Amino acid sequence: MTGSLAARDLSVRYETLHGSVQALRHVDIEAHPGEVIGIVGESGCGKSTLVTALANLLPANARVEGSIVYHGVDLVNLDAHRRRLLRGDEIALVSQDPMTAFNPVLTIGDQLVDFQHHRKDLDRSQKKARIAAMLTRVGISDAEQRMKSYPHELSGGMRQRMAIAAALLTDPGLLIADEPTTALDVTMEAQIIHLLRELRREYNGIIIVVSHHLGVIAELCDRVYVMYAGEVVEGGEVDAIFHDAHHPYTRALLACDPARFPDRLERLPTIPGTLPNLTEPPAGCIYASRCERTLEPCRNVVPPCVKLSACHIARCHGVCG
Amino acid sequence: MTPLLEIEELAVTFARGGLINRLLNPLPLPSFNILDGVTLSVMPGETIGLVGESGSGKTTLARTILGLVRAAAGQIVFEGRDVVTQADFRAMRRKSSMMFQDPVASLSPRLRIGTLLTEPQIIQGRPMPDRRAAAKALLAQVGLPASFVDRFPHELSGGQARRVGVARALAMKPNLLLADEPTAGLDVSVQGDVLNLVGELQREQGFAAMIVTHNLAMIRHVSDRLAIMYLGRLVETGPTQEVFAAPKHPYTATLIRSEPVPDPRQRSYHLAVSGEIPSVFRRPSGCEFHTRCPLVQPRCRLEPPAYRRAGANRMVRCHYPLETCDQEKEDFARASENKGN
Amino acid sequence: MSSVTEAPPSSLGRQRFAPLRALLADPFTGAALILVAGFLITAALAPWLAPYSPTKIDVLHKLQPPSAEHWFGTDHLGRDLLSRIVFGTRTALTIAMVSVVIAGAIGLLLGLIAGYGPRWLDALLVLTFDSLNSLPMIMFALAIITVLGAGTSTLIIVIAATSFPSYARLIRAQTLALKNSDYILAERLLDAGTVRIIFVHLLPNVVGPLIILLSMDIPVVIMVEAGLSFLGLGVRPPTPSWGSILYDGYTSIRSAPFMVIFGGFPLVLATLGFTFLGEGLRDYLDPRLKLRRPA
Repeated sequence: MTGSLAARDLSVRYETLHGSVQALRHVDIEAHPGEVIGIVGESGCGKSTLVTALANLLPANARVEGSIVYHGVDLVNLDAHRRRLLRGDEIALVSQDPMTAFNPVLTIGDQLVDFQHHRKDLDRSQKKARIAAMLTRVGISDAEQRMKSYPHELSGGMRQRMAIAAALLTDPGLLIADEPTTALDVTMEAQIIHLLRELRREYNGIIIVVSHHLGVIAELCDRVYVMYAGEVVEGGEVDAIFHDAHHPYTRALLACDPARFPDRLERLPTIPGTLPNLTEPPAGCIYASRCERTLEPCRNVVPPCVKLSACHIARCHGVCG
Repeated sequence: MTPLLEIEELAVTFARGGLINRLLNPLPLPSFNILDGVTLSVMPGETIGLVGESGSGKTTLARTILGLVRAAAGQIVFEGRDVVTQADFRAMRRKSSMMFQDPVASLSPRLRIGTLLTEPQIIQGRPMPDRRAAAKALLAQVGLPASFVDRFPHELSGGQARRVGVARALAMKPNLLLADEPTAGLDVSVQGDVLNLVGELQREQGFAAMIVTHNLAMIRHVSDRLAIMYLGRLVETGPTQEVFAAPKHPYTATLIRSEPVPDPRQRSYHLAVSGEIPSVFRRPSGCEFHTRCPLVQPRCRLEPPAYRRAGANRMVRCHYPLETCDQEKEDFARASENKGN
Repeated sequence: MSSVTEAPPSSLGRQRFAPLRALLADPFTGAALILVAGFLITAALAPWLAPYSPTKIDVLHKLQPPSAEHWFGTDHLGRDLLSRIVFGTRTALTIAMVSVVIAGAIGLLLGLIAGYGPRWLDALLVLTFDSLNSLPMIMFALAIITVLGAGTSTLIIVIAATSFPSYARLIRAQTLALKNSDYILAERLLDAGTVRIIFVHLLPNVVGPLIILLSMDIPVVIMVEAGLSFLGLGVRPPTPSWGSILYDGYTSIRSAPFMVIFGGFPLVLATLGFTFLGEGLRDYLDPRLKLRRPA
């Protein structure tokens, strides 16, 4: 089962002792089957909240407004039972640290069998055969042997391959990879990027890659949303974001990545200032306090969402459509 | 100019099995080299980047230099003097300092920032009439507001805690700064801040720095020389710009090529290296990189290569070092094509 | 030079009183605090609170049931039971707190030394802790009493000597976990001395769980004191103690059951009070439960 995903005017607040933290404000994103969507931003930008909202895993103190429509179903207003069904079969999550995704006292094989509990039509040996095929597909050579090992016996890269295999075993329509390579060394990172790229050829659902690493996003994604302090500030095709960015934050973020400069810089570029306090977000543009070209309305008026091309948008006063 | 620090054939071994195992086994248990034959020198005022993946021994090397880990063999010479006994190390540590990977965890959690900043001077018995004023001066030096003296480490953000780490490391005006992953866990917009700060203070005070990292994109801009480690051995050293422009060791080349490029127009579809880093408990025979090397030759599997000179200021541990930039690209393209077929 | 702007003024001023407020937020802990405070005040003000002298014998009015004159009645020697219980609070709390503090201090010091010191010393100390732990307490008490004679100070020595090993083991485990942490390594690189590392950097970070354990052990010690006094191995008559009141009540339980009831009541209350206080402290100090702090 595949279908489109669309979040409309999605806002998430966390009620805490120190007031309500507006972690996500008026987020609009959409994704279609066969696409790889990138969500990029620095810490505190709300990308983890967005992921947990999409995966229906928000904690109890979260208040959600707006809608997340997946395959014609609004996930926000779903009852608990159907939500659980959807989470198991339709939406799969690959997290940053695959060690925590597995139970340390069971073998990988046993856990992967359990992940298929919704497939009542298969018996244990058929499930095992599926696992072996899937492990081979994610590049694990001695699948039969590896199924007998425990999570701690595997290296980080191997565990991440296992986590991807586990996610794909449920035939999800939506695969969310949250910082899939952050815990890995650069040679393993390249291999996981390579693997995800190969998998998407045969996979026809939606892949959402969340990362703070611009290189990973550039290597993997078709479309990208740039987030800052709980808002999507710019979105568009990957080439437009990396070569024709309009929002000042996107430009500053790109300019900060030392990987973009082959020659030695005497000073590394930075973004001065700090994130706004999300318990009382500013009235105008969320980026106004750090922006290098603030205009008259930036401090008081919420910037409009300017449509720059068919799918390139930027939320800024200084941009014309 | 004489080097500030010289390391010669340094080795760190680790014996597997505890006391009981050793008593029960009549044969001596095999020991494992975490570091082996590391030879490296650091000139006064220069910045050297120590690069490697996890398990390459780069953090162990930094800790061995400062005497936190005991070396099984080799020599450390600091400012022309052999460092052998604990007293030697203590003398050396007074002229060097270390920045830890996790800045919050390296600050004693129940002490205030002001106390932590002035502790080095107190320990070394330097007179300090006004501790608070001294702490505020140090905070100002790293661009933090004076009110931070009363904060606790957990009340700081990652970037702020790094700045406190810098202030603490440089409070004693060291000649050598060892920084272990100084940008780990920091956003790109903040990591530049910390590195610029260290760079500025380095220009002011003239200390040498050794930066331990796996972040190639960052180290390229802040180091003068690079030392690449693999499985506890140095495989290549040389001036940073030269190494990036024309790596000699295939491992260095694969590291550079593996780094994802933040430009969708330059996607690389050829996997530079496959397989995983072997464990130090099962070191491969011959050249240790042969299990993953795309340009492996029969000789590599049998004979360990020597660490030898390869051009001015450059050293490499490889039987068949890459000659030029172009050759490297061609060879890699051919190797990956062969694999694909 | 780039600089970091100061974070918006957080509620630092309010946080001064936050610990107490957070501690009182739980009704059980609040009640326990009031109970413990009540016992402490009773012990401190015993001479003013008690209506009679606890040792004044009045055989003519022995074993009298509660009345307006003697609220809790009198014992087999005609002494006022309320006064004996009030003064018994003093005995119980003094013995319990002094022995727990002594045991805690010894345990803290030896635990830190075992955890941070060289391996051979650690092995030696752990052996000592385990040997002391394996001695049956009553036998140990009997041995000590035959040497030193029964009495308050003997009781404190017995209790402190038998309870410090478990505290030391706790501190040792905590210390071992912190021994190789980054900040201890950082201190070693600064050439901080062993004494400095142990007392300035390790002690504040290991002492939290010990305080909780000590608080939860106070009722245990009160029970032990009562038990030993009940056996005649503890506080010597005529000093009032909850244990000796219970013992006296036990011998005349048929004629005067109120003695056992009133004698046992404060013991139950003290046990509840200190136990809930300890649990409240644990919930408050346990870093895993510190969800209050904004990230």
